[in-house]
Order: sequence, then C-alpha cells, then structure tokens
Amino acid sequence: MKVNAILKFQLNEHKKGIMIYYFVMLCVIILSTGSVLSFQGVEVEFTGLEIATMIFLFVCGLNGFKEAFYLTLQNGITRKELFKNRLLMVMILATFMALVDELILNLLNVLGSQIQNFPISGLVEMVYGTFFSTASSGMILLVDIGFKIFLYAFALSVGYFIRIGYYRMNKSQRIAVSVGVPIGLTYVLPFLDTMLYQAGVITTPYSLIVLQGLAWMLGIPSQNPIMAMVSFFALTVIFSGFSWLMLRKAGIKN
Amino acid sequence: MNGVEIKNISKSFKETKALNDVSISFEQDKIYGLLGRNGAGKSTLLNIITNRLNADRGEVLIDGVSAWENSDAQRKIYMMSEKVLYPENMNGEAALKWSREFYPDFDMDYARKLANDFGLDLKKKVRSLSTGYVSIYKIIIALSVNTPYVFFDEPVLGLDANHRELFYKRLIEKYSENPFTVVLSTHLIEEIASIIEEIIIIQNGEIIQNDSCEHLLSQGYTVSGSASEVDKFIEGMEVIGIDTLGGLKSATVMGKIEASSVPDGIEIGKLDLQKLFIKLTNEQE
Repeated sequence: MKVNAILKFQLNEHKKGIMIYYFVMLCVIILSTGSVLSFQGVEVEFTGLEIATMIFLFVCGLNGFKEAFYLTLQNGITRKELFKNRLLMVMILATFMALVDELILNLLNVLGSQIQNFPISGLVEMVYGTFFSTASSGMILLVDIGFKIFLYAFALSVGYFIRIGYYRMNKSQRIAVSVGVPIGLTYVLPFLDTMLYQAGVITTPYSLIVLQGLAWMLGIPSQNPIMAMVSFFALTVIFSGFSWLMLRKAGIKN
Repeated sequence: MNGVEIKNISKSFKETKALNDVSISFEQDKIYGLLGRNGAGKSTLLNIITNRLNADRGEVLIDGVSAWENSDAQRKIYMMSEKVLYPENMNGEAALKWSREFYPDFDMDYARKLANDFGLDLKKKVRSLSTGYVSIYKIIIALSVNTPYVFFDEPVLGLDANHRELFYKRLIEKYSENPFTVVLSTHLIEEIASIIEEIIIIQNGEIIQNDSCEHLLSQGYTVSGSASEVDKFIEGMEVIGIDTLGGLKSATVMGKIEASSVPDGIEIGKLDLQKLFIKLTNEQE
C-alpha cells in the first residue's frame, strides 16, 4: 500500500532530528559508561530519558506545522487530510520513540547490572515505585511502554497546538501571549495567590490546589500510572481538538 | 459543468474588501489572462480557488464539485503561486520527488528536461536560488504536474528575457500536445497578449472585463505616422494613449475604422492590449 504522501512527508520531516537526538543519547551513554569504568568510585545515575524525549518531541511539535501545512496547500491536500495524517504521525512517532526508549532503558539495565555505580531508572519506576514493586513484569512492561506513548503523544500535541496558535495570531497577539503568559504564570498568579492567602480571602493557596490536581491526574497519590495514561490521552484529545479548530479555516499568509 | 466555476465569491481582510461578489468561469482547455493592477484581488481569487484561503461568501466548483476542502477536486488543479510554499531547505530534486508523490501524473523526465533547458541546478536548495530561479523551479513543477487546470500567479517574476521566452515557448508546446486550462495572472500584458484566448480584468475586487482576446482587440486600433498627420486623423476620436518619438506619433484609438477612410501616410495596426488595460482600469478608479 502506498503510504499517504503527506504522512510520509511529516514523518520524513522528523527523521533527521530523531537520528541526531539518539546519536546525542548514545554519546551520553558512552560517556557515562566510560566515566564509571575509568574512574573508580565515580557513580553516574542514568535517569530522565523520558523527560528528554518528551522535550525533544515538544520541540518537534513546535516545528511540525508550517512546512507541512504549506506543502499541503501547494499540492491540493485538504486541511482535514493533513490533520488526519498528523494524528496518525503523532501515534507512529510516539510509539516508535517509546519503543526505542524502552529498548535503551532495558539494554542499560542489563549493562547496569554488570557495572558497579551505574544505576538506571525509568520515569515510571521513579514516580510509581509502589506499582513497580507489586505489578507483574509483563504488566510493568506494558504500562511502561503505554505511559511513554501517551506522554510523547501529549508532548507532540501541545507543541503543535502552540505553533498553530501562533500562526493564527497577528503580531500584537503574538507579543501579548509571549510576554503575558510567562509573566502571568511566574509573577502575577503566584503574587495574587500569596496575597489572597495571606489576607485570608482563600484558605488554601491555589497553587497547592493546582499541584494536588496535577498529582491526582497523574495518579501519583494512588500510585496508578494508568491514571496518568488516561490523563495524557485526554489532554492529547483536547489539545488536538483545539488544534483542529484553529487549522480548519487557516489560510495562507503573505 | 466541466471547468472551474466561481460563484458570487466575496472576501474581506479586516476593512479591505479584496473580492466583491465575483462570478466567472474558466472553461476546459482554454488559455486565460487574469489581469489587474497591484492589489486588485487576483492572488486572493486564485488562493480561494485553490483552497488556500476561505471565502467569506460564495463557492467554487471544479468540474461541478465544490472545491473547498475537497481533495479530489483540488488534485485537478495546480497553482504556481508568487509565494514559495515548498520548504526552504528542500532542493529541486526533492521537490520533484515530492511532487510525484502528490500528483500521480507528474512527468519526472519532462521536469528534468525542463530543468536542463532552463539551466536550473536541481541540487540547489530553494533558499539559495535567485528570484528568477525560484520562479523557474516553480514553473518546472507547474508544467510537469499534468493536471487539467494550471494557474500561474506572476510566473515570470525575476526571469530574464531569454527565460521568459523559453517559458512561453514550453507552455505553448505543452498546450499544443495536450490541451489543458491555463490561467496566467501577470503584469506583463504585452508578453501574454499573443498567447491568451480569454481576458479577465479584475479591478478593486470586481470583474470589469471578461471577454475573448480577439473581441477585445477588435474594439480599437493603433494609428501611426507623422505627428501632424496622426493628430489630424484622430481629431474627434476616442484616444486612449499616445506615444511620440521624434516626429513620429502612435495613437491608440477606440472604435471601428473603414479601411477606405485611411489617408496615405497613416498606418493602422492592432490595438495595444496594455493601453486598453490602462484605459479600462483607469476608468474604474
């Protein structure tokens, strides 16, 4: 079956970036292993691969709109077809990266068991320790891969959503969002939160409620990674839905 | 109906009305000239036909089917736009490869031959090409896609005379071998006057002329000769343009003329399309 051209193009767009990303990862692994083997007493802990991949895919999402959109318009492909294939691409890319990361972590685990002072931890293992110690190995593997897939799909969708949002905005709207959102999140909201709390207007700081809400969404208090998978999936659907609303009437810009 | 039908299309950008209730059609296998001054609405109209912009009102039909968000209808059209829509880091070879992916009838061998004729290095990336070669890059794809409708928006932008000549030559060759609908939107009116069959003039977002080239050109003529004789001859006539060179004068005149009424020393020639265009668009100002 001939792979849809726009799906192929979108996958192709990220091919080089992915190769560079994993090359850098390989260099980090070689460097870490070399350090542990070369210098006695040095301990190198290998963690956060999933976070690095998540950030990388977020950036891929940010970069994955304009070129594909313009090529779509140039070649008589509809926005609907572009978006359908975009969703397919997100799932393919998220699954591929999840499988590669799982493979890397498993290989490193084997390596770590042979070398002293080289502990390896995956994100799920670190955050959901209780689940890890009680679930069967098959279930752990399944959840580990599933968690990564949904996390990565979410990262790609958020990046894409932000990029389309910026594309649809005019210059002054872009400046307002670029300046307003960081200032609002880092200064205004914490300041208001503290003021209202200290003045006794609210009994619990909003920031605490937000953090507790996030922890609940990620299933951390109940040590349930499936809860996080459901949340990431729901957020992916929500962000993708908003992306579609912005894309469906997007036009060419001069 | 086969062809491209534009029905009551309107489009505004904030306060600016780019198109106002435009209705025209492009029939199969004809060559059209879409003419208009800067900002007249030509590119907006072409962008709406090719699904790149959404009209505020009205609809576009391609072979009787709505064109908006319709892949089957859109694949019958190719538009070479003024703006480059290919990724800047894509080279010519990759652009041809991707065009073949999107358009099953894309003729790769012909595209390579055209690149050779125009002297385009297919290994070069779009961003490294001059304005003229960017136009050539897009012309090559447009002439090789083999879709029933091909729209050219300012195709000869930055092209030197030799390349412009080659483009018109290849376009006519291609059309003669296998006719298709060609819409040429350009400012270089005189250059396309001998190619186009139908003329559509757009001004301030409205169609002010939609006629066959032959009929339009029959509405007037050019009078040339010595300045004094021409001045005498055109007295009382509707003159739309005058060019003077030394003692010689050439006047573009509207209306019909009897061959017997032409005095000695006066030559009658074909109507200058560019002069007619200027007259028509100035009238609407």
